Amino acid sequence: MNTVLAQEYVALKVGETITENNPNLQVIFENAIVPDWKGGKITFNNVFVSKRPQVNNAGAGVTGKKIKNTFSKGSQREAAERAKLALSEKQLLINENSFDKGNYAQYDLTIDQVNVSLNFSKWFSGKGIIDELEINGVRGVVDRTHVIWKEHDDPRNYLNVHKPGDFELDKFVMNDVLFTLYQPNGFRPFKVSIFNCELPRLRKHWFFYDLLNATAISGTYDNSLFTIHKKFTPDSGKKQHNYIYVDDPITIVTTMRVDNLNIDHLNAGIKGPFGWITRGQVDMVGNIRVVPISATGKIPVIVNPKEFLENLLLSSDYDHMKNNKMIIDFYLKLHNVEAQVPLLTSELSYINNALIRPIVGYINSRKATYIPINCRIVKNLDDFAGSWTIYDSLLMDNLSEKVYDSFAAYVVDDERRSLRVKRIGFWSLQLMLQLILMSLGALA
Amino acid sequence: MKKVLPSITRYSTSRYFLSNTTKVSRIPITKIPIFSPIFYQLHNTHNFSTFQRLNYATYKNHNEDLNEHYTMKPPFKPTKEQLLKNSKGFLERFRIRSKWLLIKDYRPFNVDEISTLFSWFFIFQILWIILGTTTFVSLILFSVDKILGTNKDFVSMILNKSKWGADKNIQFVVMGDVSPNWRKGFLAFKCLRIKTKNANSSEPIFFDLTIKKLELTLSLRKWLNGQGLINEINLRGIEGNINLWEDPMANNWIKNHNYQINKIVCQDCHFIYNEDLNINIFNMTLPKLRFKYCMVDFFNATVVSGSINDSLFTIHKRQHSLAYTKDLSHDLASSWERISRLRIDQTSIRDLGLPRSKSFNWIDDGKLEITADIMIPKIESVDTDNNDHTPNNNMEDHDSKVNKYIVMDFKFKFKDLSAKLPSENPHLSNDATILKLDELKPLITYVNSKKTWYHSMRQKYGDPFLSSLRSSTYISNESPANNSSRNSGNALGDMGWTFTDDQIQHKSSYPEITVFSWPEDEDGNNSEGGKEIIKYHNIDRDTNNNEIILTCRVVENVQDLRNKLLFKETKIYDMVTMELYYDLMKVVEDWEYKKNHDWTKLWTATFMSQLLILGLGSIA
Repeated sequence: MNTVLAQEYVALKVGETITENNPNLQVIFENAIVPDWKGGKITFNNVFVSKRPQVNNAGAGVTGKKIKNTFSKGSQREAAERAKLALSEKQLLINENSFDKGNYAQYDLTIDQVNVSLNFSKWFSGKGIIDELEINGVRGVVDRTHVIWKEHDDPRNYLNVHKPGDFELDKFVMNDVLFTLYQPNGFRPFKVSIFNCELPRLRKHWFFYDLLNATAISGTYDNSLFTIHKKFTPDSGKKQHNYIYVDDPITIVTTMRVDNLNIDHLNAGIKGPFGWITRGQVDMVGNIRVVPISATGKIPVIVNPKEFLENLLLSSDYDHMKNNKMIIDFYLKLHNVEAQVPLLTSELSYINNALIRPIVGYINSRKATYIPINCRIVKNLDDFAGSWTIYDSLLMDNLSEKVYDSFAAYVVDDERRSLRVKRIGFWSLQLMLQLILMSLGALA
Repeated sequence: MKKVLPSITRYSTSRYFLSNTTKVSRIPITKIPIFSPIFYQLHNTHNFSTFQRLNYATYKNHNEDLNEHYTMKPPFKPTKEQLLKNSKGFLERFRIRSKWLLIKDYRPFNVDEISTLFSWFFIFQILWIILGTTTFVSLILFSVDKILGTNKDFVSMILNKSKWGADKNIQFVVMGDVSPNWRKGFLAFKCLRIKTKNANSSEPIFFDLTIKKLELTLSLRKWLNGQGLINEINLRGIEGNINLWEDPMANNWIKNHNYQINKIVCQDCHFIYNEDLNINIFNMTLPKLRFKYCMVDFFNATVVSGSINDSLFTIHKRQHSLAYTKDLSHDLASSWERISRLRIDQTSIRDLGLPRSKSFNWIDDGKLEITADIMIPKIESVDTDNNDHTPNNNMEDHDSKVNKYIVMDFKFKFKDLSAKLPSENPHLSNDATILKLDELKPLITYVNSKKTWYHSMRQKYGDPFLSSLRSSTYISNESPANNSSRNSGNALGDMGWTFTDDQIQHKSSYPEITVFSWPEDEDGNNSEGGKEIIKYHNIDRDTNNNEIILTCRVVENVQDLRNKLLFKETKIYDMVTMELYYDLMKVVEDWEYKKNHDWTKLWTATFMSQLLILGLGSIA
C-alpha cells in the first residue's frame, strides 16, 4: 500500500474518531501523520479544528447515506479564511446565519503541529488512549458572540459527567498560541496569546482544576501579561533562608497573576459601585493552595473489593480529592482608575450619595495611586468535578461576591473615609494655592 | 564381562586373539567415564557395537604397548565429526553439537587472555563512567549514604575542596542528603546553600543563594571536551542575593569560557540583584547555555517569565499573526535562528535606577514599558570552536556567507515622564558626553510641559477620551449602534432620561459595528447565503495617555557579544542610549516646530485682526 494513501486513510479514521461524538466539530489533517521515532510520538502537521454548527447538505437525504461533511476541503479553506480575517489588523468577524444556531463557543483554529503519544494500558483502565499531548503553533478565532444565556440557566448544567474513557493526559504542553476572542454582547474583540503552557496532567473530568494547577502558563490576555506558576517558597520575604524542603503539595503554592488588565473585562455590564469604574487597570494575584480538611493524613486502605472496583472506575484520585479544600487568597489592585457615579442610585442613601462624590473625585484625581482589595475564598474540591470554566466551577460567583464585598467595604469604610475626606480637603487646598500662585505669576 | 564377550566374538574371526584381548578391551571402557561422561553414555547405548567395529584396528595397535596406552588419550574417543556422521536425524545432531559446545575446557587462561579480559573490563568501566557519569556518581553517593548513614557531609567536603569551592572562595552547605533518582537518572540536592565566603560587597562577585531543590545530570564526556562536567540543571525554589559589580567573564573569575550546560530549567527563583533590583523568575527553560554566548543564549530561551521590581516580564518566541498553512512555512523560513520577543511591563523608572544612571540622569520619575524583538543569527558550531588566534581562510569564507549580526528592535514606552535639570552632563558608559546641559534643556521642557499639559487638560475636561464618552452617554444614554444582542440595555435607553446604572456605559468596551455583506463570486451569484463580515470600530484605546514612545534598532556582531555577561559591558547599552536620544530629539524638534508654528499662526491672526480693526478705526 502506498504510504501516502495509508497516511491519509489513518488521518481520516483518526479524524472520524475524534469527531464521532460531536457532529459540530471538524478536524482536518492537511499533512498526514509523520511518526517521530526519536521521541516515540506521532506527529500531525497542519491540523484544522473547527467547531461550528453544521448545515446538512440537501443531497445527504437523497443518497440515504450519511454524508460526513466534516472532511470537505472547502470548509477547511473557509475555516482558515475566517481565522485569517479575525487575526488581521482590522479584526473582521465573519458571520453566517447558521452560526446563530450554535449556542456555544465556536472556533476555527489552525494548528501547526500536534504530537501525541499513546498508551494502551491507560486505555484499558478507561482513561483514554492518549498519554501525552503537545500542541505547537495555534492561530485562529474563538467566536463567542453566539453564546446566549437563557434565563435562570445554571452553568452547572453543562458540567462533564464522568464516564470511563474520559481522557486523562499525563502531560500537556502547548506553545505559541494566538487567537482573537470575540465575546458575547458586542464586547470589543481582543487577542489572547499563550506563549507556553505546561500541565503535569490534564483530566477531562478535572479540566479546570488541572488548569489551575499548571506547572507554568504564561501569555497575554488583551495585551496584558498573565502567568500561572508554582511557588516553592511560600514564606518568601519573611524568612531569608528556609532550609526545610518538603516536596509536599501543601507547601507548594500555585500563583496566578495578571497585570494591567483593562477593567472592563471584569465590570462591563455589572451594576453597583464596581460598575461605576469606567476606566482603569487591574492587577490580580491569586495564590492557590490545596489543603486537606483533616490533618491526620491517613491514607484509606482499600479492603472491600467492591469499593476497590468503584475506585478503579472513578477517576484516579477522586477519593483523595474529595477530602481536600482549595484556599484561594486573592489580591486585586485597581490603578489609574476613573469612575462615574450616576446621578441617583438605589444602592446608596442620600447621605452616602453625597459622600461618595468626593470619593469618586478622589479616585479620579491622580493622587489616589491604587485601590487594594483582598479576599480569601475557600472552595470544596467537589465543585471542580466536571467543570470546564471559571463559571461552572462557581469560582467566578464566589470571586465576584467577595470582591464586591471588599470593594463596598472599602468605599463605605468610615475610618478610611474620614481619612480620605481629610486628604481630599488638603488636596483641594493645595490645588487652590497653586491656582493662586499661578495667577499671581501671570499678574506679575 | 563374560556377558559382553560373546557379543564381541560374533564379529571376531580369531578366537585366540579375542581370548587374549578380552582383558585389554575392558580398559578403555572403564576408563571412559574419567574422560567424558558423554563417551561413557555412548558406549552403553546402541553405539557401542558400532564403535567396536570402527575402532577395531586401533585396539589392535594399542594393545601392543599398554604403558603407552595409559599415558595417551583414550584410544577410541570418537570425534565430533564421527559422531555426527553416524547420527540420525536432526535432534540427535543438535544434541551432539550442543553437548560439544558445553564440554568444559580445563585449560586455564593464559596471560594474553587475562590481559585482554582485563583491558576490556577496564575500558567498559571507563566507558560507563563517561557515558553514565550520573549513574556512577549516584552509585558512589548511594554507597556512602548506606555506609555512613548520611552523605551530606561527604558531599559538602567534596564540593568545598573542589575547584569551585577552594579556588573561588565559594562555600557549599549541603542541608539535606543527596539522593540519586535512578529512574530519571539525576542527582537531587535538597536545600543547598551556595555563598561566596567573604560577604563583602566590595568584591566583584558576591552571592548567597539557597536552593530548595537542585537536580543535576553529569557528563564526563562533556568534561573531556572541555565543556564542564554539568550537563543539565533543574532548579526549584531559589532565594538569595546576587551582586555582580564586574563581569565575571572579563575579570577571569570564570576561567572556562567553553563551559556549556545543555539544559537549564528554573522554577520560582527570587533574588535581589546588586542590592537594587528585585528579580523573580517564575519559569525559565533554556535549551542550552554557553558561557561564551551567555547573553545570546539567554535570549534564545524557550521561555522566560518573571518579574522585575514586581512588574512582569517575558521572553518568548515572537508570534506572527498568520494562520499556519502549508504555504506559510516557506515564508517563515529565515536566516535567523530565532526571533525572540522581550517584554517588560510598565515599571517605575525610579526603581529601575535610571535617574541615578549616568546616561539618563535628567529623568526624574515615570513609568517605562519595554518591548524588544531580538533576532538571533545562527551561530555555527564550527564557529564556536574556532579560536581567535588561529584565523582560517576557509572559516572566513564561511563566515562571510553566514549571517552573523544580531538585530534588536526596541520600543520604549515612557508614561507620565517627568524630568529635572541634572547637575552634570549625561554620559555614556565610556564617559563620553552625550549632550551638554543647555542642549538638554529643550528635552526637559518638552517632557515636563507635556506632563503639565496633559494633567491640566484632564482636570479641566477630563480625559480627551473620556470627554467624548461623557458627552454621548452620560446623560443621553445613547444606545450603541445596531448590535442586536444589546437590546436589553437599549430598551431602557429608548425610554429617555432614566437615571439608572445603565447610564454608565463603556464605550470602549462596546465599540460600534459595521456589517458588510459577503462579496459575490466571479460568476456573479452570491452562493454563500446569509454571510456577512462584522467590523468593530473604536477599539484602539491607547489614544492619549501621556506617553512618549521611542523606538530604535541596534545591530551588533555576535562575536562582539562573546564572553560578555553583563548588558552594560556591551556596546549595545550605549548604542541604545544614543538612538533613544536621537529619537527623542526628533520628537522634540517636531514639537517645537509645531508649537512655534501654532504660536506664529495665532500671533499673526491677532496682529492682523488688530491691524484690521485699527485700519477700520482710521477709516471711520
